Amino acid sequence: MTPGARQVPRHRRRISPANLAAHAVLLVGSAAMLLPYYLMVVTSLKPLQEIFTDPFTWIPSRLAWENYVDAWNHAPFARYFLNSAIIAVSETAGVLVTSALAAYAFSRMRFAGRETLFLLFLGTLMVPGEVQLVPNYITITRLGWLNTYAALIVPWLASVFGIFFLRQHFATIPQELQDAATLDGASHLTFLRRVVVPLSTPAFITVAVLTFLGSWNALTWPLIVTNTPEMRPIMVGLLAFSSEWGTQPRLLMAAATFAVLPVLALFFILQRYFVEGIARAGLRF
Amino acid sequence: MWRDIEGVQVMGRRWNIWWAVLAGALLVLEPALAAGPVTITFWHGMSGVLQPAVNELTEDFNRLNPGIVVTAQYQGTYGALNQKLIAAVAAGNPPTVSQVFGNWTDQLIRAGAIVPVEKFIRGPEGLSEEEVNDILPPLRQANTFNGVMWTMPFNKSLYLLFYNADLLREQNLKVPQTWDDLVATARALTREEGGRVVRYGFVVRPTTDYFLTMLLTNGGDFLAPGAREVAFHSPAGVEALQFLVDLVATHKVAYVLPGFADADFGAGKVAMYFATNPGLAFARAAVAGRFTIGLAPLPYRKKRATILTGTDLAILARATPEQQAAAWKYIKFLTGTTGTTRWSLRTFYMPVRRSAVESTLMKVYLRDNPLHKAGLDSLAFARSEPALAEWQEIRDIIQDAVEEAILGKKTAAQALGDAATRANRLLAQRPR
Amino acid sequence: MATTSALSARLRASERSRRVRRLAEHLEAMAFLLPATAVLAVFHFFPIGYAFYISLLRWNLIDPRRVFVGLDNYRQLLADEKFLTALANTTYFALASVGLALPLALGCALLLNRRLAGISWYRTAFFIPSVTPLAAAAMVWQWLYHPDQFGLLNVLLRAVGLPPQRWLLDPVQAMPAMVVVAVWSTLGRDMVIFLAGLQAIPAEYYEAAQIDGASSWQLFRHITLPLLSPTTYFLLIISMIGAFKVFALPLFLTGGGPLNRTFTVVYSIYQQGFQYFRMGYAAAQAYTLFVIILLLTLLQRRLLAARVHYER
Repeated sequence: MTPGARQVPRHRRRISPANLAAHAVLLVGSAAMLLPYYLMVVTSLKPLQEIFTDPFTWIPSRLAWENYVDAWNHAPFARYFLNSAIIAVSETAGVLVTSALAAYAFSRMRFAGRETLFLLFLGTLMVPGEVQLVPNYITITRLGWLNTYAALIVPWLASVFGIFFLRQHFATIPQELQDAATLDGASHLTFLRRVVVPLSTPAFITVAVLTFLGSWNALTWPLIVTNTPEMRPIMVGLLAFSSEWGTQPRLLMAAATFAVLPVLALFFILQRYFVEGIARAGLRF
Repeated sequence: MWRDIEGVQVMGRRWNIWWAVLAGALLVLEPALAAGPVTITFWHGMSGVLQPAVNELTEDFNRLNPGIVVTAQYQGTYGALNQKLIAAVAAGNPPTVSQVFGNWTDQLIRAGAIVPVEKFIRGPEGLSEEEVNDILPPLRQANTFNGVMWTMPFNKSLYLLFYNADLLREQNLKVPQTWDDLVATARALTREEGGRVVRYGFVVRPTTDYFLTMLLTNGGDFLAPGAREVAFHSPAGVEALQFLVDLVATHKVAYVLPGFADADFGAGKVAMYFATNPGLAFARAAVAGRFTIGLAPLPYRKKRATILTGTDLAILARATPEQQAAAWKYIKFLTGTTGTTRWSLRTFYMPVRRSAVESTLMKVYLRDNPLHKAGLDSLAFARSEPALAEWQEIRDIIQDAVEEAILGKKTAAQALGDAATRANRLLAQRPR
Repeated sequence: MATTSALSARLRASERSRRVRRLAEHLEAMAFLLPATAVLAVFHFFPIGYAFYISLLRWNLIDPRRVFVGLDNYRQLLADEKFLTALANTTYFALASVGLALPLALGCALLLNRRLAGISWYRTAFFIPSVTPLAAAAMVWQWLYHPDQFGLLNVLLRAVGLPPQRWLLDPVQAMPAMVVVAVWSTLGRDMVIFLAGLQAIPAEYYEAAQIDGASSWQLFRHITLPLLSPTTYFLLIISMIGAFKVFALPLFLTGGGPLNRTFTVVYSIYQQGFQYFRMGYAAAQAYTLFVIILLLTLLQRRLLAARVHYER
């Protein structure tokens, strides 16, 4: 088994014992990871009578697609999807830009107080959001942003997570490349755009996927700063199925399944770039 | 002829007076009229099937009151509504009307954030003495703080015994009336197969509510007279908690479950449990027509009782006088006999007025929906929990005691005694 | 004499130009930092500063009377048994969940960072849990952890001849059971981050070492681990911060019970601030947590920063 997993192509073609072992481990691992998810999806597809049975029903007698229809009709999900998409896309785009700039400054520029400022940034992650909620609500009210996209997007346009992560990646880029670029008269911005960004594709994809996911799954803040269904994102739609007196697993599981499909699709498409990243990174030297 | 003319003149003068009065009224009302209808917002936490019920009543109100536009806005779970209400009051832009729990009300009064509904009850659009007395006494009492009625009860539910009626019928068992009946019936319904229990007669959720219902049906009380000390650790309370422990440990007719019981009920793993009436919708979904659900008042030992929970409606102080007046009309509509009856029929919540319980509409409805009867019968002896800002924390303290006793960490008496000490310390700090 | 002064003049001039250059770089750095800093200032620095002010008050955010109590709130929490329990639980949770999740995630990333048939599907399978909405995930885990013999995990235990467990209802098992859910839900995220880190290691290093006849373990020990260290360091710090702030998980899964064994610090902050109407006290708890996380982060930095390999 090669931990770094950079095998030369001809090795890859053969079915090696190492690959068989890897398959075995991955199959067992993904089965364990997927078991709760399977329960969720299978519940969403069960007819009402089969949801709670003793013993548990692992395979429904028929696929109850009506659960999806009922869940979809329970709330304005089309609108929620649109809102979530608008919010998540803007937020992700914004975070990529602000994080790249800040991470570049933190990793490749020299200025006084760099470490202190970085620690200050990191410190914002250490104070729980619960005590920031009300002051931020007041700010949003003063700005006149209640129930607008601005309230949903702007506060999240900077991500310390993204900055820190990209800083770690930018820092691994060899200094010689920067020296060479400086000699050619390239500005920092040019170096960032022409060299750093292309060399960090997997890192950017990672930040994009995780930011998108975080935005998509956000619940408390969107609920607090919006008042009408027209402005609310998808996760608020899921609230309709759980209450203080009981839950409606049939509808909750159906809605939870379709609500995250866009994120899963995005991940499935983008994760291919992790492999492409190898080729690019390999060109470095 | 002349007289006629004079009459016309007199009439004309009278008309002039009326015109003057009207003009004066217009001057007073002008700001309101100039801005079009009075618009107010209502914040609530009613999700799922409850939300359409709120919207329907609100639309009807708007149709009947052309000068007022109410926008009902769902703000998430009660937890989210609580956070948002605090934030909005702090930011100075709260809604006009909000659902509130008694302990929130206590806090909002101290902060001067709400105005008492009593002000409007005594106003021109108010309620007669008879109408006020029509509100169920425990609810009236729970919405009254220092002799003033601050809020109006809205969505109220109470604890009932849910049971699998088919199982009881098959075994010729009667619905348990007393604690002893509960043990006997649960024993008869508990079934063992191959050395393991495949069905329990009853389920104990280690919650404050389970204990409080037992406390009340054993003749105990939440607080000592004067509300300066708790009383849940009385002998009645200790017996109540011990009874829950015994159901599991001694009689072995119940198991302990932290979550909702409707799933196990539907799967046939348990035959009886306690839940509030909105739980019926969830029980129905879980059972999915596989057997008949029965509802009954809680079994008792010393006296019949149950807990009435749910929210009330409050008018926020920040709203303009016109908005507050409109808010009152809306609240009057929602909690009036017709409003509360309609609400109850749509949602399984309890009506908040005696006249609604006795209304023809309710009687007709009961003929087709006999399940609703247990709740209405329970209203006669239902109790509200104390509306103190500290009550949520006391509930959490009781929760600790219930878990300690049920999980065998302390005896019932020890657990409740320790809890009472903590709770009393809290009440002692309460500003008077 | 003259030559020295000329030299010093030239030195001064170059010193000046260096200073100008440094100033220019400072300005440029500030420009790069401006967008992120502006957002953080308004939506983080300000509320965090405000929260400190609140922590010195006895106040519920809405009462017109704000009672200044100085450090009383901080003094009170040192004697607050429930808060100290929450702190102990949170530390337990953070150490256990991060300690389990990171090595597992690294293992998954190493396995998934290869060209295998169906690798995209495997990666997606491992990522799925981190996408699942918590409300739905918590419900499913409650079914799995059902405390009686009806529970799905207990059915599995019975199949292999083991007695049923009470899981989330058992004071000893509840926290480990919650840690499992936490690991399940963060593994995918951590794995993706490790994967991105692995991409940044130039393939040539491995090829060169393989030609030299290095074993798999040697490759891992001397190439993968050191060159992955910026990512590992990042994940350790970020995961620790996140784990110390755990709240939604116990809220949805256990309500903090049984016997407060899964009650965490941020749960306490929420409870005190919004349910018990003591925002001042809640803010003091938040600041205590902040100081603890900060010290821990500084400690990690002190211990690890020197071992992190950045430039190659």
